[in-house]
Amino acid sequence: MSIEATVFLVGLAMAFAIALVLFVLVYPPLRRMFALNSTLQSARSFYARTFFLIMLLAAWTPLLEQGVPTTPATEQKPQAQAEPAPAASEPQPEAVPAAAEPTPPAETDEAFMTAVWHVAGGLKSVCLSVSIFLAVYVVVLTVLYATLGRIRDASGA
Amino acid sequence: MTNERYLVVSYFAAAGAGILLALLTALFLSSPLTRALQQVARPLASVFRRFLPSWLILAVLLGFLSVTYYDCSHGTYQKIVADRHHLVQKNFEQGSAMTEYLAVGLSAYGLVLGLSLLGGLRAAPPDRQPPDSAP
Repeated sequence: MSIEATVFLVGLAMAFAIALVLFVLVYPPLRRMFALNSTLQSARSFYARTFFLIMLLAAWTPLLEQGVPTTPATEQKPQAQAEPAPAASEPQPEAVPAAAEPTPPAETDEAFMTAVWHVAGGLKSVCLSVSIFLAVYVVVLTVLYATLGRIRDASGA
Repeated sequence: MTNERYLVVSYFAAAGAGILLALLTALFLSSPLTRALQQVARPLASVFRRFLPSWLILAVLLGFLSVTYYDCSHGTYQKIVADRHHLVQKNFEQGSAMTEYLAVGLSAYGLVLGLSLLGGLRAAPPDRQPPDSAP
């Protein structure tokens, strides 16, 4: 699997983990709120599943918009082509033995850090998106509680 | 695969995947929705059950259609087809827009469902009372 696909999948997995953690944190008080009366009790499962789906979709939206990262080698190709060729009168550097070239570790580090920055940039957008949808869902729950939460079952009164 | 073929295949595959996602979401929510609508009057509950898949599919299609392939550097069909990276990027944008609109649609549906539950309570026999009158 290419590093671009790996980075993309890691981002999706981290976004899924964020949605799951939020769901685990919010579900216990949500369950207590929905235990206030039988009408809310019957709707608890629907709102819990909806909450998880909304958080998951909100977390995946910015990552999908960001797309798959481009490789550093692809981005550097135009720069390499733009470099002027050495003049014929200049002395040509002697060929360096292949064993002394330190390029492979440096390229690996660069690719790794580029991937980490790509995931970090995506997670920033994930946090923003999840915050907005969390606020929207809190408004929905507030409306639900304001309309239905004050009513108690006759048997539970 | 040529870029033109990729454009056709990916465009309709993205639309199909979005509709499938909406239908799976509706299926995932169908049984808890039925439980939630137990105390709502039957005609209204039936409307709500039928309303959910259509609503989610419309939301997904709205997100899918909100993405255009044309932009400043891709003003013609030939320029769009020539740039494979642009085509892939637009596919990701379509996926992003579909998930975003689906999340918005679910939030709106949850809000409307809460109001319908209130309507069902008002239509129900008075076996419930506000907490102020409770002993």
